[in-house]
Parts: sequence; structure tokens; C-alpha cells
Amino acid sequence: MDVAIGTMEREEKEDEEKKERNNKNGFYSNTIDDLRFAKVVQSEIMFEESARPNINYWKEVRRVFFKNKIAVTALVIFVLLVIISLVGPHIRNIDYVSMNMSEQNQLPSAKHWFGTDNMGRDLFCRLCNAVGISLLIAVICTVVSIFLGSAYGAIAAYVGGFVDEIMMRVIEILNSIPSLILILLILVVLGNSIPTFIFAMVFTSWTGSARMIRGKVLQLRQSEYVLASEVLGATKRRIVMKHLLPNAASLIILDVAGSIPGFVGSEAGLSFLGLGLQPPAYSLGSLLSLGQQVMAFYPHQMVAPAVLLAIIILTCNLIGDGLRDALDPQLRN
Amino acid sequence: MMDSSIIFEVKNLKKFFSLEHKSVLKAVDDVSFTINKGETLGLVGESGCGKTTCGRTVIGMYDRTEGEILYKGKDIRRLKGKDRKAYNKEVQIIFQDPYASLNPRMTVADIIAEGIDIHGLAKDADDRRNRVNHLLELVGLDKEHGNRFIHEFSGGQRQRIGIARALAVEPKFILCDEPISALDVSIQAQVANLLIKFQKELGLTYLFIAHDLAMVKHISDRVAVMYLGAIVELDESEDLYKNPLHPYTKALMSAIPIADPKIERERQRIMLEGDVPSPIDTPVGCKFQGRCKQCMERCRTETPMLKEVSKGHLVACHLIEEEINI
Repeated sequence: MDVAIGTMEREEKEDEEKKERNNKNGFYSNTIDDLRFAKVVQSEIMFEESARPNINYWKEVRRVFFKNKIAVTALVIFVLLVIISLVGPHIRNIDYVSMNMSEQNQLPSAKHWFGTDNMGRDLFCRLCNAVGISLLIAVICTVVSIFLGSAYGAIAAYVGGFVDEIMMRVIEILNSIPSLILILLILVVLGNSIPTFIFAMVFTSWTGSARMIRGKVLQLRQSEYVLASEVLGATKRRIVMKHLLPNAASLIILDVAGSIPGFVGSEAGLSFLGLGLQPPAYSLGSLLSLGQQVMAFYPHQMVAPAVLLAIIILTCNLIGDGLRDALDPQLRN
Repeated sequence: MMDSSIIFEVKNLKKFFSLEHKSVLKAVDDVSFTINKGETLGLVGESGCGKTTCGRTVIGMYDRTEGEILYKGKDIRRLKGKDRKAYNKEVQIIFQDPYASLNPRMTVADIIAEGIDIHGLAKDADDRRNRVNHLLELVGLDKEHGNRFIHEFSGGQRQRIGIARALAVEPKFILCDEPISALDVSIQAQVANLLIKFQKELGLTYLFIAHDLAMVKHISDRVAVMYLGAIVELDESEDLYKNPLHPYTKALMSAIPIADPKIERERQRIMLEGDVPSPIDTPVGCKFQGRCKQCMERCRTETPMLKEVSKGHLVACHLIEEEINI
């Protein structure tokens, strides 16, 4: 130990001597040939040192995310898909709502890009609308279930004790009932409409977020940097805003990115089974179900919604992967 | 009237944790000591003997079960409003694990400036930046490091960032909770010397918790030895290492390796039998009774009190009491 301390002190002294020399004469002036070297002014060195801008966490996240080619490609495809689905029906100027028996089950053509269905309605326009509705339902379900779940989990973790016990038991009871049965029961009791459908999906899925956020908040509250902040006299508000939220934010964002394709998938599954949206409302799942009935004769009617569904879920998952890499500083090089 | 040279006065401090089935974990059991201004009080003992809990309870991070803690003559539990804020500014902590004690989502500059922000010490953004740069230089880091996140730093560098965070609020007292035991031996000296340097320059007072006996001797003015939640011996560090009295301290001191092969070969180690008993439901009497070779009848019935045997040298042992008749 003593030896190490000795070396340290010697090194410190040498450093100080070097600094002194630098201050007096610029860089080792006795060895510099003035004709070949220009003097570097001290202030310029300082400028170079502080040239790196102050990087904020979210800027860094954005930078890393946009460097990820796969995730960016997925994002571009996803955004294009959303734009097309929003604009598509309006620029085509085709009546895709009323039945048109003279144009039943047509193959793809210049007039009907994806053909028509068994009622003679333009499939492209219907698909566009279906994508919009599927995504809307998925986004609403995600936002509501994660908001409720996070708040529930955070309260359970923050209050703790007896309240926490009861809140967690409620989640366990809910989780022990198969979600398909629960959704069916809710739809039977409340009637089948888009709001009740959303309610049924949220009701069976918020518990995952609640558990995750509760675990994270419990872990963060015990962490030494929160303790350090408390010793410094930080208010509860500051601890939540500066320590708990930023550290849980990436988890919530990942949860959102993972939930959207999940909800798109389960909505499509339920609609395919006939449990979801009822006609005249339709989504990707119900189009898939209609297409499946005529699959042997008009395979394009099933392939089109199936491919779209796959693209949406795949791109969402890829975007989620990119986000996870970007949000976790430990994974960065 | 309070002695103004005393920073912390701890009287009969107890910290119990209640467990399931009505059992009680006595992490700190009847501990009394004082910390004088400008000194370093070392706190040593085996893992799990309650050093960290004791330190954290003293500065008020944990609520005490019983006893009294006076900071500059005032009970820390009664500090409210302005006094509380001043106390939070004057009393700081450096943690053991430099990987867990810094927020990975904040830049180094924001971490260091946390106290500055909380207490509004900087006049404007420029002042804040200057203060942070100054602190970075003080702990031997480049000011350019302020823009980075902590995962880019080594353990020793992180620990220095933790020290800079504690120093940012210009504290009077720092609880050093094993600040060097998680570091490499070569870095330990670096960080320990930095702490000594700041103590001299800024007039700081430390409560230094560690289990590395050689390091504690190097850094402390006085050393308290803890065993199973109680202080068994307290003395000036030189004296304690030369002349340990309590059987446990003797065994502890005999375990220090000596950096000289000739002496090291002849070193007699006092081997203790058994393990440290569980701090849950401890028996009455001396805490050390189960492992002490000179254990007497009295040790099993009566808890020995910390008594002064010579100036500044306190021991809690019936054997020593009877030997020198106090």
C-alpha cells in the first residue's frame, strides 16, 4: 500500500511540474524550432477539449435508433403503410361501401387493385380502412392498458405493505381466469361494439404492465442513487421526475412497442373467430375470415389481409427491437 | 452547553428490524459514540455486523428504534424546514458500490450537479457548469467527461464521480460507507488518498466504514470495532493496533497480514471458533460469549458496558474490567 501511495505522489508531482512548464512556455519551448512549429495558444486547447456538445439521453437514443438500418427500414415501411391506409380510400374515388352485384369476386385489375369481394366491394379500399381500424383499436388498447397498469403498479409499489398485498392478489385472481373466456363473457354481457371490445381486451391485458412497473419501481426505490438523492434532500417530486420516470420510461416505451403488435394480433385472432367486430364494422381479422371462406377459388382475398397483418406485426416488432437497443445505454458500444 | 468540537453524538442507539413470526433482527444494539470535528472515525467489523446500518441510522437514512442522535447538539429527528435543508447539505454519503449509486440515465454533470440543483447553489447555468468542471478537476477527471454517461467509466472513476457529487454541496460531514472495498487494490490507494486530501483541504469529518483493517488504520484517527451490532472497543487508531484489549479485537488484529515475509512467517493468528451468530434473537450477556475462550459466568448473564480503561480507550469486556479493577 505504502509503495502505491508513494508512486501516486511522485506522479502527481511530475504532472504538476509538466503543467508549470506548459503554462510558462507553451509546449516545451526549449525543444521547439520556431520556424517549423506554430505556438498553440492555451485558449485554443481549451476550446478543443470542450468541443463535444452536451449530449442529452434522448438525443443519444435517437442517434442510436436511426443508426439501426433494420429498425429504420421497418419504421419507414410502417409509416408508409399508415399513410396509404389513411389516404387510400379517398384518392380512389370508388364506392366501397354499398354492394355492387355486377362486380362480384373480381380479380385484381386497374380499377380494383386488389380485386373485389363477394359483394362487389373494392378490396383495396376495404383493406385500407381495416388497417386503420385495427391499428386504432391496438393503439387505444395499448395506451389505456399501459396507463392503467403503470399507475396501478406504481401505486402498489409506492404505498407498499397491506395495500400492495391486496392489489397484487387482485391481479393474480384476474390472471387465473383464461382471458378468452373473460373477453367472451364481457362481450356477451355488454354487447358487441368497438368500445366494449376495447374494454374487454384492456381488461384482460393490463396486469402484465402493472406487474412489470411495480417490480421496476420497487427496485428503483431501493437503488443507491435514489438513496443518495434522498440524502441530498431531494423532494418526492424530484425523485419521481429525475430518477424513477427516466429509468422506467424505457421500460414503458418497450412495453408500448411490444403491446401494439400484440393487440393487432389478438384483435385479428378474435375477429377471425367471429368474436371481434361484427358486420358492418370490419378489421383485418374479419377480412381474413371472409377471405378464408373463398380461399379455394379467390386466394388473393385471403392473401392480401394476411400479408398486411404480417407486415404490420413484423415492422412493429422490429421497431421495438431497435428501440430496446437504443434505450439501454449498457448495450451501446 | 454543547461542546462545539463534537459533530455527532450518538447515545444508546438501537436499530431493530422486525421480521416474520415476531422475531427481531438487532442490527444495531445499544451503540454510543461521538464524532469530533475534523477527525475520521473508523468503523470496522465483519460483514453483517451492522456497520452500514449503524452509519446510515446515524445520519438519519433509517429511522432509529431507540436512542438519541445529536448533530451539533440538535436531535436530527426534530430538524424541520430550514434546519433540515441545511442538515441535508452538510451531511453526505459515499456509497460502497459505484455501479449502483449513480443513475445510469443521467450525465456525469447532472449527477454531480444534483445537490447544486436541489439546494439552488448555482446562480445561473454558467455558474453551474463552472462548479461541475471545478469538481471534476478536483477529483482528477477531465471536464469533458461531464457530458458522458457513467457506463463509460471504470469503477475507480465512478467512485470519484460519487465523491464529487457528495462534495458539490460543500458538506461538513461525509459517511464513507465502504467507499473503497469494491475497488481494485491499486485504485483503493488512489481513492483513499483523495479522501485524505479533501479532509485536509476542506476540513471534513468522516465516519469511515470498512472491513479492511490496514486501510482503516491508514485513514482513521480513532477506530471503533463492532461485533454483532455493538461496539466492543474504541481507541485512537495507533494505540488500538498496538495494544488491543478486547479478545475479539485481538483476534481481528492478529488476522492482518504483514508485508514482510520473515515477520509474517512468525505471526501468531488467534483463530476464532465458530461463526458469527445470527443477529436475530441474540442471547443476554456479552455478544461475543459463544466464541470467547476466556468466557466467564458473568459474561452469560450481564451485558458488558463500554468503559474507559485509559484516556480515550474504551472497552466493553468483563474480563478487562476485572483485570484493571474499574
